[in-house]
Amino acid sequence: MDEFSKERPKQPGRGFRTTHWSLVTAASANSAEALEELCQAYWSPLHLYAHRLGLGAAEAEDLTQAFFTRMLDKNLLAIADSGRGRFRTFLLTAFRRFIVNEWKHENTLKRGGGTTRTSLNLDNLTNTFASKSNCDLSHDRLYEREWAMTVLQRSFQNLASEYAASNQTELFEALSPLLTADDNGTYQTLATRLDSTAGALRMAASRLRSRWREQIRSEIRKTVANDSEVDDEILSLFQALRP
Amino acid sequence: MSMTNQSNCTVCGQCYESSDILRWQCPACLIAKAMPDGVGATAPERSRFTPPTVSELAPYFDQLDIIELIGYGGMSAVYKAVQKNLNRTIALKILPHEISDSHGGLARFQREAKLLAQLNHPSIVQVFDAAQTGPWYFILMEYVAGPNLRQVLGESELPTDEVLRISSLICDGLQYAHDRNVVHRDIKPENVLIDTNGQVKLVDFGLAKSLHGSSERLAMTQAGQVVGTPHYLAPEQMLTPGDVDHRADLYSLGIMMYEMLTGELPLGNFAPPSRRSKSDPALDKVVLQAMSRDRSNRQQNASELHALLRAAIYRPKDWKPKVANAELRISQRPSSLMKSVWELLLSICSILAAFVGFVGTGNVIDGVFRDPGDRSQVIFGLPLFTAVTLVAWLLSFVFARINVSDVSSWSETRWTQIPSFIPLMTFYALAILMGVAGPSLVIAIVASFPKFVDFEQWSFVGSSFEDADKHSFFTHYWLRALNVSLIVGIAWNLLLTLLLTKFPNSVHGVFHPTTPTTSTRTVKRIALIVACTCLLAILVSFLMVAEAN
Repeated sequence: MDEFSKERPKQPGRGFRTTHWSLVTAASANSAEALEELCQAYWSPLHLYAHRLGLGAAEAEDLTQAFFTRMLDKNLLAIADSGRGRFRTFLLTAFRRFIVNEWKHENTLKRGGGTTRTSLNLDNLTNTFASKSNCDLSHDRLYEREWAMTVLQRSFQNLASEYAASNQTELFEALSPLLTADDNGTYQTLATRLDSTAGALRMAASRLRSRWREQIRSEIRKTVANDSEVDDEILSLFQALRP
Repeated sequence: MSMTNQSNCTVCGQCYESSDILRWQCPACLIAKAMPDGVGATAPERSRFTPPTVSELAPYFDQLDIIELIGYGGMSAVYKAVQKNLNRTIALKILPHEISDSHGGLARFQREAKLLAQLNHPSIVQVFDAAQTGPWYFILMEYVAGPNLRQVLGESELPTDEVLRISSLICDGLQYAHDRNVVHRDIKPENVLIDTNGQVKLVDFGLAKSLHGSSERLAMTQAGQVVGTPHYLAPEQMLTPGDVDHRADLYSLGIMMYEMLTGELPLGNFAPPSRRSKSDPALDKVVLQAMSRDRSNRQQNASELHALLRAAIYRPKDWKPKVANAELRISQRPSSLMKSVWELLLSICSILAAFVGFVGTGNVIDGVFRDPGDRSQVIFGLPLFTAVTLVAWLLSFVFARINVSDVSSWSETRWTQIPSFIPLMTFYALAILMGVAGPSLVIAIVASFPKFVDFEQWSFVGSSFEDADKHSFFTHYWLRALNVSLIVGIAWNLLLTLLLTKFPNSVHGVFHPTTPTTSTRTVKRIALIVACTCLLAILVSFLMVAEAN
């Protein structure tokens, strides 16, 4: 026997109840922190969305930041009806609304009220807002894709730290690039490098895959209202990633 | 921020963009690893169906002017068309060969089409023709100008009246079809059309079964387009797809009614519709019954559902459909032999428990009034003994109470139930006695617990028990204890009076054993829990006795 087949990576999340979005919003001190963390994690899809609407990178960043500040300050998430939908769609809807309001607010104040500057960006936005079904969906799609990437990257990092916690970083680095592919030859080469056997490595790789599956699912579980939606969300994220 | 890069995936062959964090792996393939079983990113794309364009289709249908594609799913497409000779607008549905071939082929399709052609009802879309042409099977049917229920639900909240009207019309259509042995099997908002006059039209009748027998599985593998909405499928459709009858449609309709009333699907631990919306609470029972997981608990046919829906709204408060209820009562009644055995068993158990209680009580009293030194001679701890005694009494009462719970008058009592009245009456006698003597007994028992001081050392209102003469009857310390218990007894009886006058129902069971207030099922459940606990306690105490000996 060698060390890889014996040792299992520790699973830090085990003892805790996974946080559903709906549970998170039940305003308590702890959950507020968890929520803040979640918002920060899913910052980039919104940023990209704002950027896509025609804002400069810095401007988009400011706007996104302002949005989250407003959300967290006013505790808007707590009053959101999390039973109805997913965190992903909720954030986007709120963000759209925020942009529209922000725009109107700015324009009416600066220009002495009454006059509204017609802006290309606002047009874009209200169009998608009014008839999201038949307008160009590329903004939304981009957002979804970025969201899916964020989910993946977060899960990947969680998995990495899970392995690091049990001092198996080397193993993780060796096996994680093989998550999608499965090739006997590679295991042979890896085995000589890591001083192990191909069989043991294959075992470790399959364990890594099942942990990966768990990580993704638990990450997604945080953003949906209940467990039954996890599969569905995975499917929609998968579709978003398809070209 | 992570770096990104574009390349082609060696597994799924798609072009992808990835990042260093993901070790440059294809994100679609990565997320596919977490998909539910049976759905894979690497699944071949061959079965995905792309609807033909109008011009591609036109050569195959001389008699039609095909106007436009109005919708498509994973395995079919629907076009709006005009029948040239009749100048009639119709809907043309086409299905590619390979899909219908793999699940039974032309014969089955035609058999089903014949069946559908016989359905002629205002709530069902009429089928005009069905045949094969070129690479397609096609169905010509009535064209319905109007949205489907999904679109309606998306736009606005439906008032309860409208929900009732739509549900009733669906019920009519379903009953008509069920009478002709046609089961829809795929009732969902997408399949309910509402025309410009507000008439409801059911589409896709029976096709769900005839053409894609395992429609769910197929839907799931074609992740591209029709990610199935299993929410409307009855449990038996998923568990035993071979054994599905018309009641599956009622389940789907139940789910749909819930969604119409609340705007939400009943997922997880859901509340009755009236608690999620402003709908009439009278509808809750009907909707929830239709949604029963066990089909024998649902309404047994669509017209019953229809009638109950109407009755729920237009009825005096206490009205119940008599026939349905009577049937239910008969079907729930166990066989008479089983019942007698069960009753006899309960009677014996309750008498046995009462016996234990009786003996126990005697011993407790005996133990309590012994001298402290003497008391330790009692083979096992007095508190435990007391507990066992109380439990035995409780057990006896519960058994007897269950046994007579369905007796609504004395004349109905069966002989198997009569023995239960012995412990029951004893218990009532004791209960009355306890009203007076109970407190003194309780005090004595508490005082005799080893943790407490000795009974004789108690003092009350300045007079200690200690100076009492243990050998003279009248100044014996228990007489003084009686003073204490009298005062406590007054409080106890006041409490009882309060209970009886303010909350008569709380003691109803004690004083009216033959008219049950709580449902038999609840009583049985509680009794089961209590009985298990008691048996466990008795077992433990006997083990301890064995230990002590």
